[in-house]
Amino acid sequence: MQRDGSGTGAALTGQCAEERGATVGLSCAVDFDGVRKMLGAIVAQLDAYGLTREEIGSAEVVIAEALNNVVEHACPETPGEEIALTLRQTGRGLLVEIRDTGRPMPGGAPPLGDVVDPEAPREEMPEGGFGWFLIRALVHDLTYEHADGVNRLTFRIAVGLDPIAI
Amino acid sequence: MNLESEERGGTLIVTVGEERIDAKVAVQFKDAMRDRTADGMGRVVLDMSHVDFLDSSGLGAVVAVMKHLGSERPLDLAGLTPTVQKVFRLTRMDRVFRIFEDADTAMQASVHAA
Repeated sequence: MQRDGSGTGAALTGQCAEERGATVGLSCAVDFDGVRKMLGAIVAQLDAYGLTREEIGSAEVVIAEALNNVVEHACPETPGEEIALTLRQTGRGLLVEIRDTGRPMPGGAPPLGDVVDPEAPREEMPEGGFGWFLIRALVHDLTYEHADGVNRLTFRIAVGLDPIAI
Repeated sequence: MNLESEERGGTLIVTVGEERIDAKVAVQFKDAMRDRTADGMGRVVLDMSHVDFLDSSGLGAVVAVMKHLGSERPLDLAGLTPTVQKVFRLTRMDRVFRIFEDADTAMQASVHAA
């Protein structure tokens, strides 16, 4: 499922960033198999956008964390639901929008994520909570809203930038 | 879960034969590592040179394996690919684990184990 993103001015994060590649819409089942398949399609698309391997790696980490979060927390008991994702390449980076129809985030906002204290005793090291920390470390312009039963998360990953954009 | 292990001079080198340690396989990885390390007593080197991608669930599983092995059995890492290395660095887990370029380098360093 692909559509031409040129011409419309409906920026994903409300910015007037120049579009360079096609806007791409994808969807997957709300389970870890679905997430793996969607990530495969996303990596192929980022490669087609001409991003470097390092940039693709960073983007895949961020998007994987956001999608895993939907699977783990948003809608555990609604089979048949889908996660929808839109990618758009601009001179200011990659704009990503993720939509699902699961439960809203607790507190109405994405968590901050846990910071690891490397000096802490090993038996006290956390085994989770890294996901949102990774997302926040790698994205800009993070927004979240829950409206009409839909969770909508948007962010920008600063990859494939125009030389003058930053 | 594809793991291969080899005992070398009291150190168990476990090579992960999967391209991804992600949310889909994190629990399997943790369980397979527990089985694989159940009999030994010494240091464990985890060779991740075939792993292209690790997410926070995979990272949590590696931490769980380290904790399960306990303070007497260090878990060292080897052969981190660029994206995996980035996840360890951003979460500061690169300061928790000893990380070596490859399994051979890890073996040479074993005498200096903390």
